[in-house]
This record gives sequence, structure tokens and C-alpha cells, in this order.
Amino acid sequence: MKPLILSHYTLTNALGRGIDATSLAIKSGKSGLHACDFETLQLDTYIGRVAGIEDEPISGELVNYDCRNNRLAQIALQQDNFLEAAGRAKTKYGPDRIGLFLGTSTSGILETELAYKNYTTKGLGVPDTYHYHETHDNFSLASYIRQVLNITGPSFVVSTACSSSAKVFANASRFIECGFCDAAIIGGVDTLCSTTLHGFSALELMSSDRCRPADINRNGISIGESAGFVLLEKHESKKEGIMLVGYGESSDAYHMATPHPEGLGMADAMSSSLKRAALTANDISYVNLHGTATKTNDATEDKAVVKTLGTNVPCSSTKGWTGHTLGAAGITEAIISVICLKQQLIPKSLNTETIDSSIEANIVLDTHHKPLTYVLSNSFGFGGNNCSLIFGHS
Amino acid sequence: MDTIYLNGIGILAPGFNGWNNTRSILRGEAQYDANQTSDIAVSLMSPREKRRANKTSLLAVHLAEEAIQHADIAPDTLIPVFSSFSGDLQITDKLCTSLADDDPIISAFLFHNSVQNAPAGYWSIATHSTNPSTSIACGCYSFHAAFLEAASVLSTEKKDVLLAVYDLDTPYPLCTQCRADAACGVAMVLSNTNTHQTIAALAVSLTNEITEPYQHSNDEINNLIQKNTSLHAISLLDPIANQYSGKISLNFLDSMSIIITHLNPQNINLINSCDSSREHLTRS
Repeated sequence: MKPLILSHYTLTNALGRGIDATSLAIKSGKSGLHACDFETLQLDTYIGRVAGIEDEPISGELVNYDCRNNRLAQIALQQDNFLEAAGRAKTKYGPDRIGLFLGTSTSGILETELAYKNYTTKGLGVPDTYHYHETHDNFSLASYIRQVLNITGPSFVVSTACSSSAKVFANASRFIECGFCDAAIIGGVDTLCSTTLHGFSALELMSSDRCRPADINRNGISIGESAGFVLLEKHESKKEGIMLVGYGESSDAYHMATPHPEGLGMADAMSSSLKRAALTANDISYVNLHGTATKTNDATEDKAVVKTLGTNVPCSSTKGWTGHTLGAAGITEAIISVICLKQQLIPKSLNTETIDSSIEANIVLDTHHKPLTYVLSNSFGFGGNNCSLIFGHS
Repeated sequence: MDTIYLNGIGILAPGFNGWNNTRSILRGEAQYDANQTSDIAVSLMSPREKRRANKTSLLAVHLAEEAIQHADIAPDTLIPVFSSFSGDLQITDKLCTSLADDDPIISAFLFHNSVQNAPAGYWSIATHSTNPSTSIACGCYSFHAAFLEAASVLSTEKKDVLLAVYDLDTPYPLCTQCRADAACGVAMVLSNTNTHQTIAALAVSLTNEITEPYQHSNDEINNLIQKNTSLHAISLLDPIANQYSGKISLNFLDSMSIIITHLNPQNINLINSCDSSREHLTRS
């Protein structure tokens, strides 16, 4: 593939607002997870919640879009001068030549949950303030951001559960390659809601503690929320920065909620990303694992990593910091991979005390500096939907 | 961009029971009757997966099966591009009703079937296809976005694409604006290869001009299309059924148009020039 440069990017999650907040937390080893205090939920678990969303409603012309998911999008877009970068891209390419591809798994479903709880199930219909189309609908995120940024190019939302906002890199690459757009703004937003907290609880996949990826005593995920955005442009030789050099996608064709036991689909996605980048396993300096901290994911991902990349390459999951941000996990960990490349930093597997002896990959237990050339980031979702991305320096 | 060959079509909606029936109705050779609707039927899924699958997934697989039968192609060779306006909203309705309880208990099964890519997941399991799939949402423009994504996959991945766009009838108060009022959908096999099964040859481009939405002359059909986002595909299927060659403009996101040129079958030497006796009209 023709590499694409990540000209500008921003990230907001439980670690704070903007790139520096995540970067500082990774260096200091401070987790963003805390005991669940979301709405009135009584669940024995930890969550990665973004502070202050409740106090920053969307107002003005776009008031109907006001919901937790779009509020987090609003907050994230205001960090790291992203709006200015989008404005410059608009001037350079024209608003109709910028594509917008975003990932989410549950969009603004919290609005529907609250409408049902407070009105519908009490026979009260729905309140005038409930707007399905602008909040809960999976396209509402892109519809909202098209209007905030005033861009008019091709756009859609990818919703493939926990790989959603990794796959948008592939969509943007294909659309730019085809000439459907000249540049793209990509990203993803997923926010806390009862559906996912109770849903993963019903699947018995939630940890009662801060998640511990690859640990012998790991007992499930901690759910977080996050929003990240990237401006992707064609690479011009004079530009320096971090580039997307490869992506790989695959399906498990095995089970809706459990990965293939040998990690075949995961391995396929990684191999395909290497092939597209014209790289070999030895070129990868660090792997940011999907690493959800469930028994099954970490064991099968380990098999896939060992099969594809061997046992030497340093690996870690950063979900101990952010929690599993589901539909936003792809973009969150892509941007963390970029931070690692920029700072030549390998983050440890936070909260991991004793590595599961059956795990053969090189799980990193101390955050340290090391020269990095290429970083691979994994994202895997329900339905056996897998995506791997490779980033490198220009 | 290379020519896109449409090698198979699947369609199910009130009064539209498969492509052969739909083609006859669109040509004016058969009467449209909204009460004549086939049941969803799938053959590729195992009985166990059929029991596990949600209705949206069964609908998507039904549509895909018809399209691949027309295209006479092995299902595991295709890259699926699936599109709907959200996940399974009938499940969402059930989940949100359960979640309204003070101490809610929800079904793990319903939860994992609620994701928008459940149909693509069940399709991959049914066909043992490890090809990557994409599941996208684009409000009232589900078909348009899926068609563009399919064109981009064909052009860059060089593999045949299975496009499927579908929605179930949605319960109040979900999806009040671009709602679906019946289980409906369309599937297409799109290819870089002209085969004995090829129905039409197409070229696609984008323009920032806005065009008027498609209108069908039959009010009942027009109403059905307006109420069911996935059936916007009929604006492409109508000229194909009637062998009009020329440009078809689809308003996309109220800010641009997708121009699909239906190439004249006589000029591009379709291996299967289905009905050359009909006069070719140009509608642009």
C-alpha cells in the first residue's frame, strides 16, 4: 500500500484530555481505572471514565445531537489544536475532498436507555428531548462531526464491535487510493452505557478489579470510554512524521463471542498487515496487543502473536491504563502506538504482576525507552472481526 | 476506476420476492402486490447457527444466498460489505426494556447478537470464509455508502465483493426518521470479472453536485422505498431491469452525488447480454 501520514491526531480517555495526558500517564504508570460509579449501576467492576462529560452538553444549532457519545467527540475535537488542523486541511483540499470514517459500537445508546427507563417502560412515550436519529443511530457520530467540521466529503461509520475504529484506517486508505477523497479524518468514539456494562457482565467477562492483561490471575475486562481522531494524508516526501504503512483484516469464521482457539483469524490479520507493508516479522519493534485481560483473548492472541512474530518482540496491552474502550479501542491504541514511536517508548503491561506461564510472547513488565522502527497494533471484535495496523516513521 | 460487473442480485421486501420477480415488476411485466412476500429462508447455515442467529442475520444471509446463486460463485471467495442503519434494533428494544429495571439482568446471547456486525459474523461462520468483512452505517444512505465501499474494495483488494444492505422493521421509538417499516434488503455480487452470469456493467464516480432523489412511477413502490432505506438500491436496479444505459445519479449525504454509469451491454460485449431485443434508452 501507499503509506499515509498521520498529520495530526488527538486522544481523550480516562487518562485525561489530549495527547499529553495519555503520554504522561503511560510514563508515570498511573491507571485511569477506578471503581464503577456510572449512573446508578451497581456492578462490582472498574471503569475508565472521562471526567466532566456530564457538565459539557452540546448546545446551539446542534443541540439535538446532545448525548454522552457526541459530547465526548466534542471534547476530544477541542484538544491538541485538532480543529485548526482540520481547518487547514479543508483549505488545502476543499471540504468536499475530505473523507470522514469513524468507528463506534454503541454510539449514543445511553439516551435510549434513559428514555426507556424514565418514560417508555412507564407508559409515558418518549420525551421531546429524545432524538434517536441524532444520538443513538450509529451514523449520528459522523453526522455530528461533519457539521462541526463543516466537511462534505464521503463518510460513514464502521461498526464491527471492538475492531471498529482500527478498520477506519483501511477504509480511508482505500477511498484515498480510489480517488474518492484526497485526505481523511478518521477516528472513533465509544462511551459508557448500561448495555455494554451489563452485557459484558452477563457474558461473565468483567473483572472485579483493574484489568490485568496476560496475568496468571487475570479475570476479565475493565470497560473504558475514549475518543480519538487522526488527519490522514498522502505521504509527500518532504513530510516527516508517523505513517500508516500497513493494515490487515480478517474474519475468524468460528464463533460470535469467542475467538478461534488457535488464533487463526488474529494471525491472518497480522500476516496480512505485514504483507501489505512489505515487512517481515523481524521489522516489528513493539506490539500493542488487543490484550483485553480475559482468559480466552489473551491466550489465543498469544498463540497468534507467537505464530506470526515469534517470542522475542516486546508486547504489552495498554488496557490497564485506559480500560477496554470497545469501539474506540482501535483508534485509542493506534494513537498510543504513535506516541510510543514518537517517544521511542515501550509501555509495560500495567497491573500485570505474574505473567501466565502458558503465555510465550515477550510481555513487557517495565516501561522503558528503546529505538522503535515499526509498531503493530491489534484490535479484535465480536463476530471474529480482526484488524492489525502497522505504523512507522516517514 | 475499472468497470464493475454486477454478477448477482438478491432482494426481499413486501411485494419483491427475489430478483426475477422484481425485474418483472420493474419492467411492468408483472403486477406489484405488497401482500405477496416470501419468508426469510436460508440454506447455508447449520441448524445450530440458525437457532442462535438473530432475525437481521437471517435476513442478510437470505439476501446473500440469492445473490451468490445468481452469480454462481463460491461464497468463501467474496469480501462482504454489509450495511444497515444500526445494529439489530428489535434486540436493542428488548435490551433497553430489560435495562429499565432497577436490578437488570440481560441475556448474554441478545447482547452479542445486538452488535451491528452480527450478520457478517454469522455469514463468515456459515460459509467458513475468513475473508475480512466490513459492517457500516450511514443513516438514510446505507446503500450508497456500501456501494462506494464495495467499489473501493474491488479496486484495491482485487477480490469479488458481496454487498448486502438490510434492516428489520423497527419498533417505536427507535429510528423514527429514516425508519424501516418492514424486513427489507438487497444484496449484490460485484466483480472485476465479466462472467456468463453478468447482469450489468457499471462505472462509478463522485461529484459534488446534488441530484434529485429517485422517484418510481408507482406510488406504492415509491412509498415502500421512502420508508425503507435499504431499498434505495432500486434506483440502480430499475434502470438495470429495464436495460436503460446511461448515468444514474444517487444523492449521497445531501452534499454530493454518486454517479453510476450503466454501460450499454452492446458496447461492452457482456458475455451474457440478457435481453438484447429490448430497445436501449438513455436516461441521464
